[in-house]
Amino acid sequence: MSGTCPEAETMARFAESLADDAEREAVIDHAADCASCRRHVAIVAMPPLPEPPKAEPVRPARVLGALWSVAAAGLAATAIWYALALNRPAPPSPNAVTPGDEDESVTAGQSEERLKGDFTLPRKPKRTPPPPAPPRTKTPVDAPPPDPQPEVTPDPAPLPETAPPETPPAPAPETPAPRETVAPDWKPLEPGERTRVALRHAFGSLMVREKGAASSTPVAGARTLPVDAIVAAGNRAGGATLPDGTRVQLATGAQAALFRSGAFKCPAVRVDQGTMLVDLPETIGALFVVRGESAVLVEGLSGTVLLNAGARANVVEIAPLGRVSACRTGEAERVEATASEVLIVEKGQVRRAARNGRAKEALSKFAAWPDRPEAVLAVTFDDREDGFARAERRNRRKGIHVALPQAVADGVYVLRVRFRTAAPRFVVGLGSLEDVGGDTVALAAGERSETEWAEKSLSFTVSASAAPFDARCIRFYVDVPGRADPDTFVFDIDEVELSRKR
Amino acid sequence: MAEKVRVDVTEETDLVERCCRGEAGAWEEFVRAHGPEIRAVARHTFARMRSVAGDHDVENIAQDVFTSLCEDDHRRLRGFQGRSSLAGWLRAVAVNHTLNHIRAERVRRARSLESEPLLVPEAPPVERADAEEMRRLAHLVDKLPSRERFALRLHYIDGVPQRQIAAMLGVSENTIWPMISRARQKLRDLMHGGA
Repeated sequence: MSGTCPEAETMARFAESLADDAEREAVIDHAADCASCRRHVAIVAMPPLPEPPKAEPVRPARVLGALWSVAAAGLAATAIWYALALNRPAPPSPNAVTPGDEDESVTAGQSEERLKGDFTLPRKPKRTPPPPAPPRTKTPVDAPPPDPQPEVTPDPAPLPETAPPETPPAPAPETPAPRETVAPDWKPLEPGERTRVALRHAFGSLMVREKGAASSTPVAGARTLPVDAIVAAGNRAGGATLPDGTRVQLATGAQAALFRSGAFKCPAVRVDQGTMLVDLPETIGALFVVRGESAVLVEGLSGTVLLNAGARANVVEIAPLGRVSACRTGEAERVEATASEVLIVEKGQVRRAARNGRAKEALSKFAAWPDRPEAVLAVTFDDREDGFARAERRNRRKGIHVALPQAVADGVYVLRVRFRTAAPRFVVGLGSLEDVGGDTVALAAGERSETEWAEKSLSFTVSASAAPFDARCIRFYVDVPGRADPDTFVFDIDEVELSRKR
Repeated sequence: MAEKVRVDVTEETDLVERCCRGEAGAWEEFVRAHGPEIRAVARHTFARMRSVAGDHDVENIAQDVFTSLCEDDHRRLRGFQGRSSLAGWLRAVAVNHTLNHIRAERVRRARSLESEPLLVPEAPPVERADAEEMRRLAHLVDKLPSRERFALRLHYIDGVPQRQIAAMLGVSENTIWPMISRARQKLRDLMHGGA
């Protein structure tokens, strides 16, 4: 064999007939003796095999249609038989023997049967059942490969290569076509049934501890995680985007393992402790959640879901911030919840409960989905009416405190907030609720409502030297007139977006 | 073998660059654009390798390919130089991943089978004379020129049609069968000459 295996791009050029003569000869020279590369070019060169016909799912309407067809056929056969029987001469006396009778021992009953038999529809020969399909191999999704593999593995253990057969290989066996659905008796995934996952755009204070490692290391940018790695948020919220677009954010102190469920083909989170947000793109819509011995597949997700490890082991609370969510447990039980409710999973059992204050408070621990480079904070508590962050009372102020993914640097910022309140004004500022100062946002009468959402945008300049504050937090609180009790005013926030002006 | 294609480099490299820069929506666009092709290639490879695979296997391969592209700050994606089309390059990467997956799976199965106690009598051994002849034939094939070796093995072992072999070698389809016949004749001569 000559040299090392060509790079993927060279193989692609060869396959696309873009390679020049020297390149082509080099590939041929190498692939003549390298079974792996020869297979590669052979596979790329060969036309795709015809797809096996996929079994269409049987819909209730079709079942009804089929039943109607059977019933109609039966009725038609009866009608034909009846019509023919009416036109037919009366059957001879049971005891009379006519010259044409071949079997003289036919009794009356048998004769009746025979008449009927003449008019029954011919039956199709019974089809022999097809041979059993080859057993599905369990997904070999397991631990990540030990090392990053080269473009083409130099075939250390070549596939068994027999003597050259005189005939080309037979077509491949049919691959099982129907998409696997969730079996009603599924069990929580074993470690070997998970796939590793890559983090993209890690942000905030995200730490990773690999199995066996003594300490955690901060993550920045992109990184691939082994299946057993634990991610945690450090002194502030942190998270990352996964390759499929799923976004995960952990609150301070939260710990989780992120992986991908090979069986359900969806992102999966093992919640170890604390609270975290998972935001799923519309194309996925399902999340596999594991907590100790509890596991649940959450389907029909729209938007963000808040996961909270319960105080007890094996308990996880799932608070959908979207409109409707559905959980499926091992018994194929299906529980739906709205954004004002929470699903509590305990050892495979799911129950629904009203969302308590703790879950709402937990929302304020989260910060950002930095989709845009200039966006410091872009959090949507919900895109519908039911989910939002509600103000809490702290230090005689009723306000909302949101952690930022990173400290705000000096510059000009634009803040957009979607809110509802009956208060005449509210204050916005950086820092925690205990800090003073900030910009007062006066609200016109039409913007004050306990039920209708309003939106405000304001621009402000940040200068760390001018005013000392905690530049990792943003606070909103209602400014009430006189001695009015802040608790008498509703103050909810639905969306906050903070971006730096270029 | 694909026809000679014109690579629209600018649009593809632009998407790759946007992905590497971490531009919002670029990766999603990339996955949306190339995910179906990668899955199709994985499915095709599984089928051609006569490996039974379900949708989840295909999905895992696709996930693996995307993971490998974006790990280490998109190191591999950055390595794409635009010398071929992006789709062609991704096809090559997907085939490699699938072949490695199949190989690992077969090795794993072989190991697990070996660890099982045998309950059946051993199969009769291959006739010694046949085995020796096979080895000798394989050794003689190595002595053929590389183009003939390549064509012979592609035809007899991998079952690639002559048309595709011709496209790979950059010659007319009509020249393939004479080339294979010539190679067979050489092998015959070598076997008789060596006997």
